[in-house]
Amino acid sequence: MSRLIGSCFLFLFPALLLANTGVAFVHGTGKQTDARNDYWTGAMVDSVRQGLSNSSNYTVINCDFEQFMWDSDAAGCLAGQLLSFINNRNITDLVVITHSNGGNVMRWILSNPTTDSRFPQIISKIRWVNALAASSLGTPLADAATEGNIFEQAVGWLLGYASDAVKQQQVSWMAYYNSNYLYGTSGRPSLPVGFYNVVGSDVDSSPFDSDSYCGGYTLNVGLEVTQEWLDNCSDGFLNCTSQAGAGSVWFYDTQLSNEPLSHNQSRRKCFGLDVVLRNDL
Amino acid sequence: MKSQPFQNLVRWSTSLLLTAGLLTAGEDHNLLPPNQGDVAATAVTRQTWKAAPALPPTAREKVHFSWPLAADESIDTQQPSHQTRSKSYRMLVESADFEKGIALPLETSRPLIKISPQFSADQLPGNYAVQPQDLMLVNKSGQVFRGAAGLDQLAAAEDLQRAHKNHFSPATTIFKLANAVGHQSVYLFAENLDQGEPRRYVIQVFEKHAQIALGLQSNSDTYFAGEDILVNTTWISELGKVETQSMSGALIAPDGRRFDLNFDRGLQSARVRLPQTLGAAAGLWRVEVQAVGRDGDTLIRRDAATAIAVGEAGARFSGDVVVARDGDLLVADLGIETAGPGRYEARAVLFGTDAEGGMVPLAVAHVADLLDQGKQRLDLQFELPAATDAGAPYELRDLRLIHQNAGKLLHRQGVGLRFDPDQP
Repeated sequence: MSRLIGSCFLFLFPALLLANTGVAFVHGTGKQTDARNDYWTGAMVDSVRQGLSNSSNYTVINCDFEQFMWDSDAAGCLAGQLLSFINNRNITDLVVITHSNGGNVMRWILSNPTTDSRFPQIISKIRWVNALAASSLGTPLADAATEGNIFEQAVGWLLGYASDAVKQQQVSWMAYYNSNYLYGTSGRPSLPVGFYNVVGSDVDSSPFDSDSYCGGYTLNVGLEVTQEWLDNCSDGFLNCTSQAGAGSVWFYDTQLSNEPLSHNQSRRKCFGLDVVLRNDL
Repeated sequence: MKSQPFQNLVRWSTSLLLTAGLLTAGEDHNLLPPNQGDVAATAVTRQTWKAAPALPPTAREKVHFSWPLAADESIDTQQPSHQTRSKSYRMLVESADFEKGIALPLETSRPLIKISPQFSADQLPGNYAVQPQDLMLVNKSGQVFRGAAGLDQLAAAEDLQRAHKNHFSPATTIFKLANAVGHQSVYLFAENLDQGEPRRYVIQVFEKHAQIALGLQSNSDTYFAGEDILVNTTWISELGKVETQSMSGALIAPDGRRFDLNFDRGLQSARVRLPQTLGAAAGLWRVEVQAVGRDGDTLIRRDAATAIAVGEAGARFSGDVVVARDGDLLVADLGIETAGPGRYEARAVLFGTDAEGGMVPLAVAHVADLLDQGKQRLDLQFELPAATDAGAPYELRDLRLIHQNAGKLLHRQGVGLRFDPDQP
C-alpha cells in the first residue's frame, strides 16, 4: 500500500523524480555516540536505506537527548547534523525517521522555525517525518520516574535521577508544551510538514513465542510490567493516544502484521517495519 | 494518504520582496483588548534573574517563517490548563520500615507498586533494590504471601534497567499484586534488605483498576511573577461521594523553592502567591497535592501533580499594528515594548472569511529578532494560500509573544485583531 502511494506520488509530482532523496534516523531519549549500532542496529538502518536511489544518502543522528528538547545539545545538535548532511550530500528531499522522544525534538524544530536560522533551511528540505512511537503527549511513566526520585528536602527534587528529557515527557509538561510551543496536536495548527505516526499497541514477552525475542526478549520483560502503568493500548512505555497525539496516524502495528510492536521493537528490524519504511523513501 | 507541502519553494522569494520594500503602505490598527483566559502583561518589568543564556550565532538573525493551513482545520484558540487525574500515591519510608511492615491503603486489588531507593548524584545505589522475591505481603485477613505467591507480574531491577535505563533509576523494581491479596489494608514487608546503614525508599502505588481518582487543575497554565495561582481539586468517583479527610500540597519552583498551598475550609481550592523574584533554572513549576479521603470504610490516598509556567513580563505588545497586503502576502507589523534586550518572537494564525461568512484558518506566521530595550517592531508575514476563496475581513488569532532566549511565553490572545486591509 505504501509503495503504491509512493508511486502515485511520484507520478503526480514528477519533480521528485529529479530529487536527491536522503533519510535521517533520529533516536529517542538518551545521549548517543553510536546510535546506528546501539539504538537502531545496523540491520535496521541498512535495510531501510536500501529504498534510496543512492543508499549512501543516509545519516544516523547522535545527540544528547537527555536535555530539554530545545537545548542546544538536543534540537541544536539535531539541526547541525541534519544541515551538514543536507549540504554535504546535496539532499533536496529528506525523509526523517524518529523514534520516541526524537519525535518531540524534531517537532520542536518544525514548530519553532524562527529560533534558529538553520531550522527553515532544514524544514524546506523535509518531505515528511515518519514518527515511530512518538511520545507526543508524554507518558505516565515519566511522571512515575520523576516522582520516584524526588527528595523531600528543599532543592532535592532537582537532584533525582530523572533527566530533563524525562521530566519534559511528564504528561502535564507535554500538555503545556503542546499548548504553547508545539504544533500538530488536537486543536492546534498543523505542522509545516507531514508528521506520520507508527503506533505500537502491545507488548508480547512470552518465552514460548519466538516473536517476543525480536529486538531482545529481556527488553520486553521489563516493558510488559510497565505496560500495567499504562492504558490497555500501549507499547510498554507510551499509551497509543500519546503515539497518535500529534500529526496523523500512518498505521497501527497490527495493520502491518499480527504482531504488536513494543517500544523497543519499533526501532528494530521486526515484523516488516523496516520494509515499510524502506518502501516509503 | 501522505501529502507534501510545496509552499516552501515560494517562501524565500516573498521575503525578498518584502525586504526590497515593494509592499504598499499599510493601515493602522489597534489590538483588541485581551479576554478572560488570555495571557497579557499590563506593564513590562525588567527581569530579576541575572543573565539570559548566551545565544548561538545561528539565533542572531531575523527569521520569518510562514506556512498555509487547510481551511477545514479545527483550531481551538482557548487552550485550558491541563487537568491531572491521579489514581496513585507515593510514600517515603526508611529501610527499617520494611522489617516492621508498611501499611498500604488500597481502594482496589491488583495495584502496581514501584520501589525506588533514594540516592544523590554522587552515590551509587549498589545492591539497594527491594527485589520482588524478597517480599512478604499480609492482607486484611492475616493471610501471608511470600515472594512471587503474592504477585501477578514482576520486574526485577535488572529487567527494568534493560528496558528503561534512560527512564528509571538503578535498583528500581516494579510488581503487581495478585488478585488474591485483596484490597483495603495490605502490609508490605521485605526480607534480605541490607540494613547496614539507614536508607530511604520511595514507594509508589498505582491503582489502575480503581474507581476513584483525584483531579487537579490550576486556573491557568501560564503566570507572571507575583501573581496568585488558584488550584482546584476534585474527587472523580464512580462510587459516590468521597469524604475528604486531608488535603495538602505545595508549589515547587524549578530551582527547588517550595511554597505551601493554603486550602480553603472545604479542602477543594487553594491559593498561593508567586514570588516577585524568579530563579534562572529552566523548566516548569510543579503543583503537587496529597489527598486522603474515605469511601465508607475504605481509605483512599491519592497524590496529583501538574505543571505551570512562570515568567516575567519582559516585553508586551504595545497595541499598535500596521497591516498591509500585496498580492498573496499579508503583513501585520506589531509594536513591541521591551524591558530589556533579548530575542523576541511573535506568532499568530491568520483567519479569513469564506464564501459562507465563516472564519477559516489560512496560514501561520512566525517572526523573531534580537531587539533592544524600548519600543520595537516585529512584522508577521503571512503567505496566503493560492487556492482559497476566503478573504477579508481577516482575524489574527492565537497571537503570541515569546521571549525566546528566556524560554517564556509573554502574551497569548485568542483573537488579537479583526481587520480588512482594503477598507481603511
